[in-house]
Amino acid sequence: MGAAKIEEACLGMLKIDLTAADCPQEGEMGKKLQAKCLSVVSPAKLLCCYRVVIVVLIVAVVALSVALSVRKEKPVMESCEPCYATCPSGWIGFGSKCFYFSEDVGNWTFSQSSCMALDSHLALFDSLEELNFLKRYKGPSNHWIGLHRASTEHPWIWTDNTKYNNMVLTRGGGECAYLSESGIRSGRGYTRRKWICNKPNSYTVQCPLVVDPG
Amino acid sequence: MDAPVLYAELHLANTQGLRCTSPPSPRQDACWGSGWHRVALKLGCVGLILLLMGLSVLVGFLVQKPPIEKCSVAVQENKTEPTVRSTILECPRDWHLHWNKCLFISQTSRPWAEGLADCSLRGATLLLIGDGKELKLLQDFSKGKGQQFFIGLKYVQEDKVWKWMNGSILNTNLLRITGKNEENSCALISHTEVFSDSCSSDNHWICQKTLKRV
Repeated sequence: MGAAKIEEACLGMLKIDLTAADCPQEGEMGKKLQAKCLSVVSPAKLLCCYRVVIVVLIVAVVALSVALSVRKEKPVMESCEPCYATCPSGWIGFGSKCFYFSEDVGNWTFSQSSCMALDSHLALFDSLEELNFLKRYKGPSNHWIGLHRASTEHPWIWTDNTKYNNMVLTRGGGECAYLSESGIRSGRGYTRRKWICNKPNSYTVQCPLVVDPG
Repeated sequence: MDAPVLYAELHLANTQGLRCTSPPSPRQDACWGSGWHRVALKLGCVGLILLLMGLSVLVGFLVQKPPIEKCSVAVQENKTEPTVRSTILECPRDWHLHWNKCLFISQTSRPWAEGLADCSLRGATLLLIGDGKELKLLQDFSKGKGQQFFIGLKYVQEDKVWKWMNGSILNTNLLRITGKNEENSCALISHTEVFSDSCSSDNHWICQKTLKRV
């Protein structure tokens, strides 16, 4: 049995030699030889395939690593398509702003300081829609907002020192404005009320250039 | 004819002999190669698995999106104290028995004069406070409201005194007013202090009426 195998191997080798030397045109032997050649060559091909696959995987991993590091290094500033507007926990979003409605009460100065401690300020509104939203969400309590004046003879200004455009008339005889269900009212700053803070939402923070000026 | 046949046979026999003597060494080579190949295959498989794992982790990182924080609004609960009923003395519906009086808490904010008128329509007056104990109880009562309330106390510029709506002059030992003593000043009770606010500010108010025997 072993001898037979050895003999077959020898014959095979002999035939290969013959083909290389003298018999390239024999059909039947040629086919057999082709089959054997393929079987002989396939290990090398497999090895090549393995090498190619491994190289491709390594390149993919490296490329992905680079992509991730680049993405982390530059928080998407140029294209903000995947950005979402989010507000911190406990705040509520409307338009490009986040609003915080306090549970505690305090005077106007305390309220403004509390907002600043939250990296924000007493609420400003830019439109009637925004004002109506605040009135709807404030509940039954009155809330300080960011309007104030030096005395009843002075004009109203916001906490950022811009002049109030009298979009909505204020009523009352105080120096600090608050929101009641009837609209904007004023009282003396040392009285105690709840308050509303506001700050821009995360989308506005991330994409200052894309912010719609309207 | 005979000569070629003889030559062929001789060549074949010679080649067979050569190949028969060489087989042992290829076998040894094959054994050695086979062992090496197995180790290499195992290492290759391990490497591939590690690469695939790394690839999946990196892809996961890339695909991962920042979670959107859910906005939540704290719902303000109006805690109304339960009405204490007795078979002899009873308060009307929506009024609260307190001390020896029935109290009504307004649901809206209005200037002081409108609060006064509203109480009158209800057959009552703005709240009058008789002594320190009652004041303390009322302040505890207002604590849960998160509000301030107009009461029946107003500054009279002509006499330069605070007067109750029943005409009596405020005893400053009983109750101390925080804030301005000037024209158009009305008293607001909060859970800590009694403030002077502008009478034209909007605030909630408290009406009182005496108990009636049912």
